[in-house]
Amino acid sequence: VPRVKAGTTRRARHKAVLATTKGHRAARSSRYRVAKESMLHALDYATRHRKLKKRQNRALAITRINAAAREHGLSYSSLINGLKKAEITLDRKSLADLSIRQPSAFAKVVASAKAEL
Amino acid sequence: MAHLAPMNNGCVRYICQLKRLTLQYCKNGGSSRGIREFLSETVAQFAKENPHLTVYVRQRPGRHPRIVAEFLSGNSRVVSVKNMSVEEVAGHISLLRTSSGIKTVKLAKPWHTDNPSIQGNWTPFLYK
Repeated sequence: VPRVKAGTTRRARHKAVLATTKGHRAARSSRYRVAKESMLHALDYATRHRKLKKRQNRALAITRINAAAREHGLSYSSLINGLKKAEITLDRKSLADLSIRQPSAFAKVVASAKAEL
Repeated sequence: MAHLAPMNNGCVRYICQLKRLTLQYCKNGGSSRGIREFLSETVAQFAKENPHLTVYVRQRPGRHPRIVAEFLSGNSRVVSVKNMSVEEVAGHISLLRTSSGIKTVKLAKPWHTDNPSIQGNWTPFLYK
C-alpha cells in the first residue's frame, strides 16, 4: 500500500468531535483527546436519559397529584382507584396539569372519584 | 424561547411572504437535469404569475442545484433540488411560495399557550 499522509482528514475528524462538545467544561470543549471521551459520555447520557425523562416526568406528575388529592382528603392511590371505578381515563399528566392550572376542575374530578369509593 | 405565534396572514389580506427566489443550477451536471427542464419550460410563466417575487437564475457550474428562498422576515431557506424531477422542483417552489417566513426550528415542546390557567392557578391558600 503506498504511503498516505494524513493531510487534512485528521483535522476534519477532530473538528467533528469538538463540534459536539460545545459548552463542555474546560479542556473538554477544546482538547481533542479529552473532548472525545466527553462526547462519548454525553452521547451515552443522552440516550439513557431520553428513556429516564419519561419515567421522571411520570413520577413528578404522581407526586403532584398526590399532594393535590390530599388537600381534598384523598390519597393518590385512593384517587386512582376511584377514577378507575368511575371510568375516568384522564392520564397522570393531565391530572397534574389540572391540579395546578384548573383547581376547581380538579376538585370536581376528585369528587367524582370519591363518589365511587 | 419566543413562541411561534400564528401570523393571521390571510385573515384580512393575504401577503405572500416569499420575496426572492434564486435558482442555482449547473448547465452540464446530471443532478441539475430536473431544474434545467423547469427553467426551460415553467419558470418564465411562474415569474409572470407572481409579480411580487423576484426570480433570479444563477449558474453554478460543477455543483449540485439548489433553490435559495428569501422571505419578507429576512429569513432564508435553502432547498437542494439535486436529482429531482421537474414535478418535484415545481412542488418545492410552490411550497416555498405558500410558506410563512418562519425558520424551521425544532420545537422544545409541541404545545404553547399564553393562558395556561383559566380558573386561576393553584396557590397554597386556595384550600386553607
